[in-house]
Amino acid sequence: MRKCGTPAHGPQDLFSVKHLMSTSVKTAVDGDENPAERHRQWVTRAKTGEEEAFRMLFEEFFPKIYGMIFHMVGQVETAEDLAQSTMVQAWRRLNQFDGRSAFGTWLYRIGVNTALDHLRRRKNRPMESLEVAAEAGIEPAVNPEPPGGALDDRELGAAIDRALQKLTPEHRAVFVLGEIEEMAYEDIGRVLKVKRGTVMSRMHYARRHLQRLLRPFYERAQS
Amino acid sequence: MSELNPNDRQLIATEYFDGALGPEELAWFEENGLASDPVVKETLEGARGLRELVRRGARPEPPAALAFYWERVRADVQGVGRAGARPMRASWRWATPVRVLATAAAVLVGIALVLPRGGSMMSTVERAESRQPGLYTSVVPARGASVVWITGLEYLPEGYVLR
Repeated sequence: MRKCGTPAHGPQDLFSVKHLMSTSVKTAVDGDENPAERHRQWVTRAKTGEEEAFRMLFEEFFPKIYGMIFHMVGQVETAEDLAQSTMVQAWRRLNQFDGRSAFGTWLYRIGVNTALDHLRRRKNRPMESLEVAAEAGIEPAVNPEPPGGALDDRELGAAIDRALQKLTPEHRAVFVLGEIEEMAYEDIGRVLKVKRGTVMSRMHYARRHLQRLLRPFYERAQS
Repeated sequence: MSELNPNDRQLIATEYFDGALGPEELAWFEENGLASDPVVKETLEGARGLRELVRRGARPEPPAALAFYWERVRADVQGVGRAGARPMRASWRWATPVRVLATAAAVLVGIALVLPRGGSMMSTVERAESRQPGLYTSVVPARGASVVWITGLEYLPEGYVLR
């Protein structure tokens, strides 16, 4: 990411994000050695057939991939299946990974494409899509409203996920990668194979749409 | 600055907020006082508020332990290797109906075991086993019944029959 004179990601932001991360993710951030170098070593060993090395990659990346896919599809079971499918594909195709990008970028590309493929298939089956949405507790026509009382983080998370499902898959992917996974535009462009300008405009329109959908929550949080 | 329409200003504000402006673009942004432009300010405030909200929301965690998923991934990679590398998507497509049928069959077996049969005879399941990698079976004794628990049905090859 290019440096900005007035960085939007200040130290406080980074702290709060770290605070929300799972234990395995924390290890990646706080580890003494360079995570990219550690991933490179694990990939090299896994390519020679060392199962334990791929297990290390799995343990580090599976929670992140699951979280990203969950935000994309909005359903726990589907996210589990697709995250597993992503890791299986990565393991099988590991010899195709040439190391020109970071392993995480390569893995996210597989995960995002797996999620987008699923969403395209779901779109082609409207009845199933409605059933899946109903199962997941997603009510397509209802805007999220904050419950009474204090704003609970879990309820807020559920409302954010409902709102995310109202974005187009392409806008959702950019928002999830940029705002939740904290990827730079260049990396998002590499994952989605789109230009930087496309990333920027999709991010802008995704934010505007979400701001409208989440306005009641935003106002409550402010108060 | 004046030649930029409001939409362009919003887009530039988005890049600025995401730290994506290059040094020259950033200098231009600051020289033109864009940070104090009402449209830019509104965009920045909106983006900041949304970011705070999104990062406050709980981050989803996988519902099961990592070891559970690892075993399934491992079994899938090993199982498919023996079955001749069937494409992944095809293997998942038929998994749902098989899973539904097998679950229904397991429930029926359970009900049949629980139902009274005119006497005190009660069938029991002695053992449940699977030779298919990734498919695990176990018998859980319950009050007046035995529950056959089957995990990993999605790893069953096409045409496989549950007996």
